[in-house]
Amino acid sequence: MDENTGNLIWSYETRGRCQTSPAVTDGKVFISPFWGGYIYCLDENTGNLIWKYKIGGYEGASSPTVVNDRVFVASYPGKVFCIDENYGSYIWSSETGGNSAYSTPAVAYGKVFVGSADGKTYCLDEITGQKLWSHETGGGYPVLSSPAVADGLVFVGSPDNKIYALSESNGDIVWSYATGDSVSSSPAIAKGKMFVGSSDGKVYCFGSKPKETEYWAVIVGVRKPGDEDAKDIYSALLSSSNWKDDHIRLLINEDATKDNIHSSIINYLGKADEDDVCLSYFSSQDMEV
Amino acid sequence: MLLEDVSPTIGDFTYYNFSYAKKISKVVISSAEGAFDDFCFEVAGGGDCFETVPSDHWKGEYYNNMNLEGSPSMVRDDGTGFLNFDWGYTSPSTKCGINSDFFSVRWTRSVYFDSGTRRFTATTDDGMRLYVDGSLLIDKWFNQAPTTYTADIDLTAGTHTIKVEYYEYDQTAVAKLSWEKVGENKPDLIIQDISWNPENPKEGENITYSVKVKNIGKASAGGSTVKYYIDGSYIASDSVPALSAGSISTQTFTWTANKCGNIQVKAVADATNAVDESNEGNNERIETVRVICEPDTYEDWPMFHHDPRHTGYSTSTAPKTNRILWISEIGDCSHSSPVVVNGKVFVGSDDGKIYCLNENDGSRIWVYETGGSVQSSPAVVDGMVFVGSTIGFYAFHEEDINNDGIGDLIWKNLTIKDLWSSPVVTNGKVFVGA
Repeated sequence: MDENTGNLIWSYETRGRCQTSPAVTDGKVFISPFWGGYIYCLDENTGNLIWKYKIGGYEGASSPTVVNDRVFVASYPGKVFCIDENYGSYIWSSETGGNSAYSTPAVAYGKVFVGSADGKTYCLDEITGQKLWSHETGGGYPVLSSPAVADGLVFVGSPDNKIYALSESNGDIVWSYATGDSVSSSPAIAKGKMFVGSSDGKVYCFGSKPKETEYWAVIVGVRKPGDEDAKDIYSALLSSSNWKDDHIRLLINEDATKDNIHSSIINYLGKADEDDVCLSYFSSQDMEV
Repeated sequence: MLLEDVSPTIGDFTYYNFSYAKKISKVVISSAEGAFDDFCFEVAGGGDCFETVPSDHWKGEYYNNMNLEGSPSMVRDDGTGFLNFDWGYTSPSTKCGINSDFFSVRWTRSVYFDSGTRRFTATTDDGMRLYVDGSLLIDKWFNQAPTTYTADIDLTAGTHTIKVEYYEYDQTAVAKLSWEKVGENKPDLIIQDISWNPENPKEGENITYSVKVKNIGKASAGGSTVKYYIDGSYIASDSVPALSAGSISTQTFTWTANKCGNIQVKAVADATNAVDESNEGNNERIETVRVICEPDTYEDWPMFHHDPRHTGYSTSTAPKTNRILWISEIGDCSHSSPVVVNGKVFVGSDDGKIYCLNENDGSRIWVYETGGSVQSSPAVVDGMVFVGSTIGFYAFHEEDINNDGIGDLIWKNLTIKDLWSSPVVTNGKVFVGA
C-alpha cells in the first residue's frame, strides 16, 4: 500500500494465510506465512517473486528476520532456518523443539534469539546455527513472544505470566516480573525503558526512575529544651538546599502524639526509596518514648 | 713553463722538457744571432696528447703537479662512461709523459639527466672534489687509500655540468665516479587500506574508519598528514608519525552517516606534501561504503521487532532491574506488541482499540476504536501510525491533531481484513500480510 493514501500498489498471493509480518530490506520483501510452509522473497517495487524456499510442514512459521544477507525463520517442526537472502539457498537449520513456531527470531551480537514451542528461549550462533544456550521461560507452554534485545539483555514474554530479562551471553535470568496473565506480545525497548503488553489488559513500563536524591526527616521535640533543640535542627536542615520544608515533619510537644509520630514516619520516611536520605530526630528530656 | 719563455744563452744549450708545452706538433728553434740555421723537429705524439673533446665526453686535463697548476700536460677524451681509473703504481699516460705519482686531473663533461635525485659515488686515492653545476658536492682533498664517498643531489631535467678534480700523491692511484638515480630510495606513502566499523553501517550511525598509511618506499618518511573526505567533501585530518620504510600507521576518524546508499570515503596520504616521495601520484585511496537506508539507530522502537528487518535489537540501554515505572490499563488482552516513538507508546488491544500512551507515565494521549480486534503491532513512521485490525487497515496521525483524545484518521483501507500481521513501513510503502 502507498504510505500516504492506502492505495494498493501490488499484492502477492501466498500458499497459506499470511498472518506473519513481512520483513523489508535491500529492495526485497520477505514473507514467511504462518500457513503454507514456504519463505517467499518478492521484489519490493513490483511484488514479483524472486525466490521461494520450502521450510517444512504446512503450518507454523514465524515472521522472518533479515540480517547480514541472511533470512532467519522459525518454523514447524521446531526448527530455525537460515536462508541466503539473495539466492534463497539453505545455509543451516537448528532444532529448537516443539512444533509450530510463533516467536520471531531476534538477531544481535552474532546470535539468534528465539522462543520455542517447547517452552524455552534459545540462543543460536548466527553463522553456524549451533545452540549456545537455552532457558526455560514458558513454564512448559509454547513461547509466543518474540525476544527483544538491547544492552546485553534478551527480553521475552512468557505464558507463565512473566516477562524475563535474560543475559544474552549465557541465558541466565537477570530479572523477571509477573504480570496478571500470559505475555504473548513482544517487548519494545526505547530510551532505556522496556515496554510490554500482557493478556491481563495492561501495558507495563520498566526502567530506572530518572529522579534526584530526596531528603526526608521526621523531627520530634517534647519539653524544654528538647522542643527548642528540635526547632534548631529543623532550621539547620532548611538552611541547606537539599532539605525541603514539605519533606520534613516537625512535631513539637502536644503535636508529638503517638499517632502523629507513627503517621509521619509512614508519610515522610516511608516515601523514601533506596537512593534517598532519611533523618529521624527525637528529643524528649527525660521522657520515655 | 712554456717553451717560448726559454731564452737560452749561447753555449748553454740544455735539454728542455717539452712535456710542458701546449699542444704542438712541430718545434722550430731559431737563433737570434743567426748562429745557426733554424732547427726544426716534429714532436712525437704531441698531437695525441691534446685532444679536442666534445662537451658531453669526459675532458681529462692531466697535470704533472698535484694542484692543477699551470697548463695540462695532457688533454684526453676519457669517453662517456663512468670514470673508472685504477692506475695502480703506473702513469695515466707514459706516452704523454704523465707522472705515475704527484699528478692531478680535472675531468669535465655535460650530462643529460631526467629529473630526480642522483646519488654520486666516488672512489679516490688520493684527493678528489666533485662539482655539479659548479656546486661542490664531494670535497675530499687529502691523501688517502682508496675510499668511497657518496652524495645525493636533486637534479632538474636537462643538461648538467660535472667537474671532478683529482690528485695523486704517491703509491697507488684510483679515480672513479659513477651515479645512479635514487628515486627508489625515497619514502613513498600510500593508503594501504580503509576499513570501517560497523561493517554494515546504517543511516545515522557513527562509522569509525581505520586508515592504514604505509611507507612502501625504501627510505624513512618524516611526519605527515592524512586527510579524509566523504563524497569529495573534506571531513578531518590526522597527523601521521614518522614511518620507517615498510612500516604502517593506523589512524581513525569517525563520521556520522548523515546520508545513506553508496558513500565514497577517500583518504589522502601526505596531504600537505610534507614528505618528498619517490611517487607523488599514489597517495589516494577511495572505498565505497554502503550505508543502509534504515533509521535503525533511533532509540525508538517504531514497529514490530524494531525495524523493517525485524532484528528485534535496539542500541538503547535497557532496564537492569524489574522496577516498574508505570502500568497502564488498556481495554483487553494485548497480543499486540507495543511500539515506541517520540515519547509515545502505541499498542493495540483485543478490545478493538489502538492506544497512544505517554511514554513517561503511561497516561492516554489518544485512543481510536477500529471496531475489530487489534492483534498486530502498529508501525509508526513519518508522523503516521499504521495499524491493522480484524476489519481493516488504518493510518492515523501520530499526534492528536484535534486535541480531543481521539486518534485522527488519515486513511483506511477496509478491503484488507483479518489482519494479524504487523505492518512494515519503509520507503513510502506499507507491507502487510493478510
